[in-house]
Amino acid sequence: MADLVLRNLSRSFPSGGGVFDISITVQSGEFLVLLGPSGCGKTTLLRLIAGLEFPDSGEIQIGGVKEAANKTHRESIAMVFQNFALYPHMTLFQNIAFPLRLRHVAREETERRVKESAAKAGLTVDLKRFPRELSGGERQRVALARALVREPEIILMDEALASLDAQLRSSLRLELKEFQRRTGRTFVYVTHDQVEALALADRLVVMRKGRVEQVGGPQEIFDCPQSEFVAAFVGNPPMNVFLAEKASTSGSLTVDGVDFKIKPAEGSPAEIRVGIRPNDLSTEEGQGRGSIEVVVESVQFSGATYIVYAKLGKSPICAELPRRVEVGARLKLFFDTARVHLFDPSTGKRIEPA
Amino acid sequence: MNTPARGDRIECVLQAARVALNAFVLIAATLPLYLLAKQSVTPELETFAWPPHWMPHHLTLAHFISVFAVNELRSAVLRSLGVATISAVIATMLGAMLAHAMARSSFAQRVGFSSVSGIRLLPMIAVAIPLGIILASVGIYDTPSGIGLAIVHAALAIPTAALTLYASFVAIPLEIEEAAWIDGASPLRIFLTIDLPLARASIATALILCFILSWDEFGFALLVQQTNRTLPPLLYYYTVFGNVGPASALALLMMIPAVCVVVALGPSLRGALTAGSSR
Repeated sequence: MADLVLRNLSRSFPSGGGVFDISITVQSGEFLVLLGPSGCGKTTLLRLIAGLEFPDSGEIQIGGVKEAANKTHRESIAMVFQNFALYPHMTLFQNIAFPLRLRHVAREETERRVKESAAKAGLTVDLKRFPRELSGGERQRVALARALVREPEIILMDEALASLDAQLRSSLRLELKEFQRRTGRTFVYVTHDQVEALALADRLVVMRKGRVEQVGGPQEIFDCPQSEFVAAFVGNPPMNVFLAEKASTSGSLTVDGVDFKIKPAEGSPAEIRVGIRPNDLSTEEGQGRGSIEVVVESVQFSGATYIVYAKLGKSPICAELPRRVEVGARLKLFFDTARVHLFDPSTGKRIEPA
Repeated sequence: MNTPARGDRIECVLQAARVALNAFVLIAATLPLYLLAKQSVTPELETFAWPPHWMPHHLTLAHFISVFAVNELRSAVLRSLGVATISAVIATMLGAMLAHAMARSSFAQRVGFSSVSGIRLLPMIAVAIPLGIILASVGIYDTPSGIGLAIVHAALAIPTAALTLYASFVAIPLEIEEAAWIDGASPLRIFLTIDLPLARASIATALILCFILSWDEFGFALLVQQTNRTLPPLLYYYTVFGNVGPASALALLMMIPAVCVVVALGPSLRGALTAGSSR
């Protein structure tokens, strides 16, 4: 098993996209998710790792060995594409056996390994069938089995669940995580779906405009976003962010005159962006909690909770509450001041409260 | 506003126009064939009867017998088959490579399209004499095997093959080739085991088109195979010498491969030629 090390990797395109100065170390056996909006460079980064693109500068090491910068295939890496890229003219068996055929593996050995990886990928259909006869979920399994059959150390997946319907996606998500635990392979998984990212990742890399915004565990990314971008991108419904001013008397932050009872650290800018997640707002009073008063504008039922859209002064605010509230009602919402995030409005970086 | 009766009348006129157009196309396409077939079984004297007979009054197989009696015919048929087959295979092979490059690189696409249309715009007769000299200098001018002509025909057919195959290579998702690359296949291996099988319908079409192109190519055949003739020049000599009956018989025989292809592959050929080969 081998670590994957990316060092100062850059690759730019004439169109302006690309990735810039990326350094990440992926531990062997880790499930790493690259998350970001479309065009943030996550797929480019994956293609650089796969050897489908080559960096302008920087290097890639797998197991301590530097990968060649020219066009050579990488033996320790397999990849599952967004639309699975199965070979339509080959049977499932031939599809899965293709990497072995290229390596002149003996027939009995091929048969054994194809069956083995088909079973590992949870593929139960007749392998004499063709990809076009399968459903999306089954194709996904075939693609996984094909990636697994030559026992690569690293499996790359590019939005591999994006083309499936929601129900199948969540069941395959579970299965994929289980599959990764069982096989102990390193996974690098690209997605723009933050729910998927939080569910799958051991570690998350949030990307924006070709740069790494934050690297960390899902909990850490969610609880302690290092920038306003990460805060707004991860979490659904997205975090409420307001521009707050320091009250001249107390020095604590106010939004439209509402006191948040938080004091930023000394030397922080006069205006500060204040963020709070919808699920951190509640109607329950408590010791030492901040409170705000809002006017309810609309309510959406999401199954387990109600998503309440309201106005705090002039700014829209969203709260996730366990009970239904009346539209038009004035509502007092409470929050734990420790769950409030502060960001510098000019750089977007996180500021710790005093 | 259209009354129902008026709508019906318009429908009626349209229907009549459709029938008339179809009839015209049908007659224009089949009448020459009928005349040819008629001449081939009409005795020599009746051929020139005035006014011409729509139906032959006497039938004869003498023209076919006379055609088969000529020794030159057998070797010309074999030579035409050989030249057409070899040139079709070479043109399709090289055309496929060109088409694949054109489908995958914008540079190759630009160069490919301009050179392909360049070849088509070139007046063929302008290059005929230099070509003859080149063939003579490498010793494959007017050989019994017809290899020189096969090479010329292959060169002529490459644009046809490339254009026929281009659309089907474009239709193959790049991801499939990338998957094969990740799986460890070399570019040549990807071309042979992924691209060619996926484009097989178009490959068959390209082979057939190139075959037919060579089978009835006349100008270069006349020039390059002066004594070791292929079928079209042979037919020409029949006509020149006024043997209308045998010429008609030979012309009919020459149609056999084309007819076979259309009958055997009719639907799939039509599909591949018109559909832009979207899979």
